[in-house]
Amino acid sequence: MENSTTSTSEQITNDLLPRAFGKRGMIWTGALLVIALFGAFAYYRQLRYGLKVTNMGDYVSWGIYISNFVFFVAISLVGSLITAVFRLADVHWSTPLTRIAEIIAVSAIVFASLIIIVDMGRPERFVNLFMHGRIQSPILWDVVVISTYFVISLLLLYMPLLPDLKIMIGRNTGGSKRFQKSYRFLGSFWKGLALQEKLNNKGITILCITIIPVAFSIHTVTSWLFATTYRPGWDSTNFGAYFISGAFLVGAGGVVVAMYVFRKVYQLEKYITEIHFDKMGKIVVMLALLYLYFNINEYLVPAFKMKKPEEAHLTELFAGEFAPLFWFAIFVGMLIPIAILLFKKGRRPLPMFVAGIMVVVGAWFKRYLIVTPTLLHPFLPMYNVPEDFHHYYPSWEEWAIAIGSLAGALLVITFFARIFPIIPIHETITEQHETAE
Amino acid sequence: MKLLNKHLYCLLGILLIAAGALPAQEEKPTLLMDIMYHAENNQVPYVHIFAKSKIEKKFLPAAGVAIKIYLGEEAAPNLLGTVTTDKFGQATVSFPIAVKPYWDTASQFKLLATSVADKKYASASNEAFFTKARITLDTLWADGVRSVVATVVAKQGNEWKPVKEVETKMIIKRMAGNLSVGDKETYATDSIGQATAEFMKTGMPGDKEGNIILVAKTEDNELYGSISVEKKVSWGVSIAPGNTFNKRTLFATGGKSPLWLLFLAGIIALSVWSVIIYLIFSIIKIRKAGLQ
Repeated sequence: MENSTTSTSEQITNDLLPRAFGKRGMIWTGALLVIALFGAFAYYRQLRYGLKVTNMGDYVSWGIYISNFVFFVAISLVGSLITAVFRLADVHWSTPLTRIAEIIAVSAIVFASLIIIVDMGRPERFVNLFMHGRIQSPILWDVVVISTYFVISLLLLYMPLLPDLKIMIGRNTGGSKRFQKSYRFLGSFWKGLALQEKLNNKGITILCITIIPVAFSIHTVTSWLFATTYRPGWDSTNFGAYFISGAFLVGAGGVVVAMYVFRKVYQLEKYITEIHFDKMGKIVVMLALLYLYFNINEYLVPAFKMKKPEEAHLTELFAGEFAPLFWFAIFVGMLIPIAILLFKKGRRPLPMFVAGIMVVVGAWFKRYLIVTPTLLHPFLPMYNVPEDFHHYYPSWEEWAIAIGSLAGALLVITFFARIFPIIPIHETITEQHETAE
Repeated sequence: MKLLNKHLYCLLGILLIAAGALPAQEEKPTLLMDIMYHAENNQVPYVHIFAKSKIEKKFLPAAGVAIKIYLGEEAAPNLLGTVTTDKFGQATVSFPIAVKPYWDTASQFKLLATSVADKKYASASNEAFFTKARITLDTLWADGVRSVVATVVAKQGNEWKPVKEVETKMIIKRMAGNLSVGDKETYATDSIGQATAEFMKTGMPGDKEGNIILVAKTEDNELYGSISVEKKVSWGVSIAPGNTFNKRTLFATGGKSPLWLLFLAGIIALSVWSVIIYLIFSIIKIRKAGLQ
């Protein structure tokens, strides 16, 4: 029995250890690097020539940078859903997904912070937020809450990783000696002592409790950046809940995509099973229905009243310039995934992957629709302004930076998965033992 | 003879057609200037000019017109000033100190406005005659009724004599306009130059001492111009407006944030960061335990 347990543990360890990139991995990483570098070049141009390289102006002062920021903040919420909520609810089936969720959260929150600095135009002025910040301003609340969430997410990624670091020391992870140095630096002190286990488990539980209100705050405060501004489309008391429900949906969609890719690339079918897809599918469909409910509230109520300033904004969304994008976001981001995932066959890995992609892509455009059309419909009519002030099409620099930041976030996840196990080894072994007993 | 007449008609026709074909000499519109004399609350009098022109059957304000205004005849010592009209065709000039000797002795006076021809308008001038007048304001309290009394006197020779049948307005000065003290818009002066209005606007919000400002005035009067006088009375209700400037409010500067917000935000940030610091210490403890 002892021997079989050891061999099972060894098998799990070998299965879950990080591996060197294959040909596909190299192409993927190379492509992401090229996109990210091109984004960096576009940002260099923005630094050199100023924000005039963008197509933002007097009216649309928040373009795709802020849409991207809201998207990153939204997807980062998944860390708290999969890790904290499930852990506190004693849900064990989600164990293989926790690290995927946490690294998505960390990389997303890093790029959310970076994209805000990009949007500022003068990055050296970022320090002014702290030097001359007004505690009355939701912008300062956002800065504080994002920093806090980043630190908590990092801790929640690191603490459960400690036992795995010990496992990886001295083992072949297909990398250079630098990998081993990192493992030793980060986790050589882990001996699996009772005191260490106790402190670590207690720490993780405290983190799980803390991260939920912080995660709710981060997205609520982000929604308040809009809702505290008196504008058509943003003047809503519903915005906090609307943003959080959307964030849970895109986060869950992101996890579905990532679990499919990692399962396929690392041959993790034994660990990320069809049951995981089925359960995640049910969660996604529930979250999509919830987000759809908030969307109906958000658009139906003002459309029913059709107050004059809201009218132009809503008409543009429903039947005007933004209508194709709006209905794309509603159908592709919510309705079609719901239709796919409501059926058991739809909750199999490949349809789930397709639905996950749809949710994520739809969510990105949904953020764009929250930000831009409102800015193009101010309360005061736009008279005597140049024609291009009435429209907003991001410049190539804006697209390059936005896509580059998305590639950057994927690169962080890719490198993490290359260096560290993407499924917790120690926890999987422990659960295996508990099941065997 | 018939042939001659026929030729003459033809010649006339050709001349008319030719005249029509020639580029028309564009006529400059005539500039019209309204002159009004103002003396408000015993301050330096001033002259208000409104310049307009009739273009396509509409009176339009004449902007950017340079106008010289004289007190009396057109002569350099009588010049009150040269003004340029704004986009509404209006301009104002105060009486300079140089005309004081003349002004002190005058009882009737002439105001003359002249403009020279420019690219848009032909030269123009207009004059208006006024009698120097004064208005005073007094208050009465009789049988529990408050009244406002305005007295209008005009200078005749060296004497100030009351004038009758002058329409005066007696109003309460408000921020966005004026409010008549009684139920009529205007009150005419009697033979002793007095007009009396019962004060009916009780409970009017005043300043923090309950003061309101009463005004008696003639408005665009053909003989006396627009003259007015003000008087502060404590007939209003005391209102102390809340001044939040430089106080701790949500819309103040960072240094003046509300204490409740500072406290609340501080408590939240401190609680969360205490947990984070505790966890960092836990990691240090885990490390120490492993290294022992």
